[in-house]
Amino acid sequence: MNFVQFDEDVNASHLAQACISEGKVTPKRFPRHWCGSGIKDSQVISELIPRGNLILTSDLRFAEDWIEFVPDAHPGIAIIGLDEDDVRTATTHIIQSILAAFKADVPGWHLANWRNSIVIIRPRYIDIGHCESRKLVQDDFIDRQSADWIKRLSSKLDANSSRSTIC
Amino acid sequence: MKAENWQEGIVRPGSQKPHVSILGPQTKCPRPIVQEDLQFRKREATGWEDAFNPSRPGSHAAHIAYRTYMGVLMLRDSIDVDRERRHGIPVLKGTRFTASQVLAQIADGDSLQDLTDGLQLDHDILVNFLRGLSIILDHPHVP
Repeated sequence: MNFVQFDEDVNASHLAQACISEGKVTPKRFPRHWCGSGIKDSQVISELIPRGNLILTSDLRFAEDWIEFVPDAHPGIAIIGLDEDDVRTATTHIIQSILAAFKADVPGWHLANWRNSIVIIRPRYIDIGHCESRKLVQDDFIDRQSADWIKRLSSKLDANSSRSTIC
Repeated sequence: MKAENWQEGIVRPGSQKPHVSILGPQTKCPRPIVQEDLQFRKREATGWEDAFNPSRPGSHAAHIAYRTYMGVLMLRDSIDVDRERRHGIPVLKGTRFTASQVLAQIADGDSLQDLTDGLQLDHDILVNFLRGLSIILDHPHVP
């Protein structure tokens, strides 16, 4: 993975700057000409997926609600969210802290193959799935307190990446 | 009663309590409302002085209703509700950035400049949203 495409809700310069400072992936900001254009969720998915970069968003229903626009083979969608018992609204600062904790736990996150995976990353849980014939299929719901959670996540990512190679 | 005209049915004549609908009349503003518009609309509103005459019964209610109406107009010009953008959660006009996230970002310490420069959001839309919301909240919410 070389590039990460930001969705509009995570399109913050401080997130981009953090990515650049780490030097592991290059962030791609939400296209400037789409800002204020009223572009729909489905159009965003349809336009971003062919670009071939992992999509980063905090919209928990981004993939689920528009799954008919997600092909079986896609570059991967990472959704960052809060735990269900956390009532706060996710901000870019909260997202940055969740991402930082995840990256600390999984130092090789940028080397993992995210292709075809739809991953919801929360502070306590990880929900991983994939798209199959325009339907969302859940692969695993991983408790980050469990001892083997990184291994489980890695195996699911690998399994999904080998499902389809045409994107 | 002249003061009724500019409120377009929001205030019932002779009523002490404003009858306010959050949806309001379907009036479209041609551009974002700024502070000068509020002043201008005050002046042009028929019967405005009458409505603000403290000896006139219901004038405070008329004032509240007028401000609420203006607040709703400002929100309408800065917020979209569209099922195909963020599933119908109110978003800033023309974007997929939720209004709730704007408030949460401010609560997390972001300034307006952080939101416009860092998140590429439109300054005028943000200001209208915040001003409109402040107007809507700025009256007693008890019966």
